[in-house]
Amino acid sequence: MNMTEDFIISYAGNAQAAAKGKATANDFVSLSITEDESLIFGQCRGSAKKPYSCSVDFIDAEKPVPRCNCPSRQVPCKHAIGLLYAYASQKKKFKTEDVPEDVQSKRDKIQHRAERSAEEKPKEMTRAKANAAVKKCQAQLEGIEIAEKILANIALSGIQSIDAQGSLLLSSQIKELGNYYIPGIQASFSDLIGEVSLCLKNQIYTEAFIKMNYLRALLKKSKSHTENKMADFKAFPNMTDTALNDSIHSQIEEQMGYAWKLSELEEHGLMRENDELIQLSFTVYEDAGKMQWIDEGVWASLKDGALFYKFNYRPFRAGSHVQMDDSSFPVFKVSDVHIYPGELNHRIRWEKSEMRLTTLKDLNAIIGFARTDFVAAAKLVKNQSKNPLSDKNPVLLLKISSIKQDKNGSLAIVDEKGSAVLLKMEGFSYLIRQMSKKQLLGSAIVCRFGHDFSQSLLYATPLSAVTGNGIMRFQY
Amino acid sequence: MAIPILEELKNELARIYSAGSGLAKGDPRLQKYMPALRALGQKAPVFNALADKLSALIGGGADSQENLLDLGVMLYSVLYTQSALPSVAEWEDMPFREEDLPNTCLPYTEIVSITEMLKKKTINTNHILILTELFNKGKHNDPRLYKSYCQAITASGTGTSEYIETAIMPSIGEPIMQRLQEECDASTGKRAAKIKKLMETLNSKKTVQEGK
Repeated sequence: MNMTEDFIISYAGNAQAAAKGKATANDFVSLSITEDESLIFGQCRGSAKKPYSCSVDFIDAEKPVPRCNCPSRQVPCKHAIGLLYAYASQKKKFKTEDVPEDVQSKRDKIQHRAERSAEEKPKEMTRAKANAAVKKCQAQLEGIEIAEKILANIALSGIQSIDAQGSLLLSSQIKELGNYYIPGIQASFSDLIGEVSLCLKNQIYTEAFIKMNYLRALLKKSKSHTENKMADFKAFPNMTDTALNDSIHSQIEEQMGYAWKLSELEEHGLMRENDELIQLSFTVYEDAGKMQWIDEGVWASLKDGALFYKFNYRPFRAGSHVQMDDSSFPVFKVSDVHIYPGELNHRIRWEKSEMRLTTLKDLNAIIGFARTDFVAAAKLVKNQSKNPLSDKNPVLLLKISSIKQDKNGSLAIVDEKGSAVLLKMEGFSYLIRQMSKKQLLGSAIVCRFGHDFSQSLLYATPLSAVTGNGIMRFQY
Repeated sequence: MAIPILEELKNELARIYSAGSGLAKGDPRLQKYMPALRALGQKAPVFNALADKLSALIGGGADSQENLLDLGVMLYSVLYTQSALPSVAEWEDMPFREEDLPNTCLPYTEIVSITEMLKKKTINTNHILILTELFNKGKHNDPRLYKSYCQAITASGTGTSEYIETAIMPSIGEPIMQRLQEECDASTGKRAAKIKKLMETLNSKKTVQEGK
């Protein structure tokens, strides 16, 4: 078992949690390891009278299981992380012992559960379930109708008519939408109201119009999609699949507020097997509409250079109970990558993985996948953006042939054929000006595209640069 | 030809979105775009479709709000396809530094916590411990921290600024000089003088080092 600091930080979730855990590494009064090195365990001094019994089980190397009887709800707790640090730095102090009884009993339970679910037949659709699904679709359609009326009223009276009282009335109407299984639509309305408040202060309405357009398109598509689903369920036992194509090839379900289960993604074949993934960029931002923090990672596949998003959602009300994600540096070997329906940049998730250090070969592989034709890249972006429900800011990997600047200091990256993409500098992207020729020319830049309507220009915000000797992160 | 009309129409629609769809009925400012859209529609059907939606909006009626929203959705869809790449034929090559910039190496949580720590006016021994640990791990040279280091050298509470000046900055060397120069150019009075003196010290240390 090769225990590195990178692994521990990644396992802890973020560097702060790792640091808290590291502080407990010297509080262990006993340290043990099994002969096959599949389990490390020990007793750690804490705030209670008796030391806490703590272990990390590597019986499944891709999914180590931390256990501790401390009162913390954090998983892994600081004692489990401390145990890993203790193993990394004081391996010789670990005595070889048998698996403790309580851990063995838990291992047996997990094994038994896995065998039972392997034997279980897939849950079949019954008439009762189909009827329940039809009722849910009916409720959703009622909610969509109410939402359409709300939007129509805003369009009829105008944004400027929404004063403080009007805003309160709208907020209570939006709250009512929570009764109709359309939380995504509800969140989009909350977003719009938030944007309208901003617009009324600064008198710039563009974003509010864009959100109204989005809602119009969302409500139209939600209505037709839900009607199709209802018809499919009503046809039971001879169920049709009119709505299936939209369900699994577009984001309409998520946009309406549905949260996919990993088993459902697996069922629909939305998976990639045996992939190696590396994070190229990370950031954290607030989603006021859904009242949550979002930890967003941009990941690349070493198999084919596809760029994905990995999200971690932290509702405001959950506070510090939901662990935060962090920047990640190793390569993750994942046997099963679950892919959410989407377009250029799908969202992905995985449950089990192994880590290894990133090599220069990995960086060169990523550079090899970068797009060398910026005109073709722009076409892809515009094609996706013209759909009102699509992500207007896709992320692409572009290969730099040269970098140009104008009299005002604006920068553009240029491809082999001389086509250029204007760079919009944000975050730490000013570092581009401090990099060397060797680092930049021939490197791959991870760019998030955007549209400047006032100048009819397509621009890109650099998120990171993958060079021959490392990754320069312009976010985190 | 197409783009200015679409941009103008977008701005006119902004007026209608703000004031309400009822205002669009018979509106002459919207009406004036009909002939141009029809003319463009002879080459590309999408402009005819825009003209149809605009005509429905100007015509008024009980469903003016739907007409406004549908026109808005279609117009923005077309606008997204109009975004173009710039022409850079007359632009110059960006100048490059000779030396490689050190790679970024710290995770989000550390960058954020160290940046916040270096902004504080009250410095304590814990802060110096954090910086020392960072230095000993060799992770102090993340270029995203250069700005924070430069800002902290003139903060009150000398412990941290001293450590940054005497240990961290000399270790980073040339890559931080550009940042220091920018800070110096943006500063006045005592702060500028302090930064200038620091740069001279770093330069002389570098000369001595090279001399060896």
